[in-house]
Amino acid sequence: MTFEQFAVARLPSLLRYAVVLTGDRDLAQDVVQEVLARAQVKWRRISDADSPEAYVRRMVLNEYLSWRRSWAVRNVHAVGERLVDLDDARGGVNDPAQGVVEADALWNRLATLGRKQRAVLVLRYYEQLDDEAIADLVGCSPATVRSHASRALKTLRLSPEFAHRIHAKEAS
Amino acid sequence: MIDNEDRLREAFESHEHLAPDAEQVYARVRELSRSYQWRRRGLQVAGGTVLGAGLVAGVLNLPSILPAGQGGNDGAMVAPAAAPQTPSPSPSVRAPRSSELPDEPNPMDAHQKQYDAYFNAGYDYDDAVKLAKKWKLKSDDDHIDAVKIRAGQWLLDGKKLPVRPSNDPDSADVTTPKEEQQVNAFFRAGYDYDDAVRLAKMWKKATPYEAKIAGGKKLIAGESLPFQP
Repeated sequence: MTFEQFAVARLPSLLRYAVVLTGDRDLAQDVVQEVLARAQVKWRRISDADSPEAYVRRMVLNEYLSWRRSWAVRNVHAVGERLVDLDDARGGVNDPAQGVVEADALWNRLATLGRKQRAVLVLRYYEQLDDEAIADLVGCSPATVRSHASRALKTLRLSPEFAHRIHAKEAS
Repeated sequence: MIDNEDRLREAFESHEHLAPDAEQVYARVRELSRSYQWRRRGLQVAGGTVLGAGLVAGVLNLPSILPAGQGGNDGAMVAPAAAPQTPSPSPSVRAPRSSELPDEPNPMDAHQKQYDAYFNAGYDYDDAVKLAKKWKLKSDDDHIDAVKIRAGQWLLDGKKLPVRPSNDPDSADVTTPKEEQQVNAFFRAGYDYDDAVRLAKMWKKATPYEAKIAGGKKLIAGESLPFQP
């Protein structure tokens, strides 16, 4: 598979992954562009990998985790543009699309997590990887993965039942 | 009752639509990778000691040679992680056409000492924004690097800056520990994840991250790594 074929087939999926991972459209774009530009230069080596896509997704994760420049400063939103503002503007009244509102609220709370904590949740619940695989990707132990997940869920103020289940997993 | 696991998945999947346009991103990737190839050639020709003139400038100035608003970034594009933090392109170094890029001077060369002094002291982009405010200078993307250069020169002159470095381990707000400084040094030198993988094998480190730390430590100490980025 050539780089061009790979990009055409997999770029939309990579961008979706990146936006979920970073929570920021511009950062997702920066990360994917940077990764793919490097991947193209080294494509011969990458295409020899068992799964070039897994290799590139790993590059995206590492790029995000090691991204140097703070994006918080330049990530300026106009009033009303941010989902949290939209949520506030609704004044907490019942919305017919309650599920969407809840998803937006949770998405906003996800933005308060540290990069590793967010990455662990994305890898676990979006990529549906087990803790061993996540540990390998993030470069830590499975216990540390569980710790990141547990703290992240606590920060997100998810229900005690869920936290309890996580706790049980940790104990096992 | 909806399971929280499902709620998280729903939160992620319902925001996939925020992903940027793939076609625009791909166009930008092609530009960036061409710059990388030039830079690699420059490194090979120069023995890896000096970046080829204008090649980094090519990376830096890409936003100026691309159509405005491409990819929805509207100029918010930052220099890639593999490239060092850089001064903003002044009219004298801005490349009007990509064909002229190899002949453009590399702005990093002129102020390398100031940049090294600035970043090695633990200062970063956010600190430059704070300094700009203190000094009543502009801090937008076109001016922030002038602040870093000025700050670097102050440090070289032995002056104390009016802002504490974010990466100072003695700082009360320790957001970037020493390890991160070392990792930053690794990336600033132009090395990337794949290089870290290679170094981890050479140095028998358990993870590429450990190799980044070890490599950054060497670079900060003025040592060189076994291969060029």
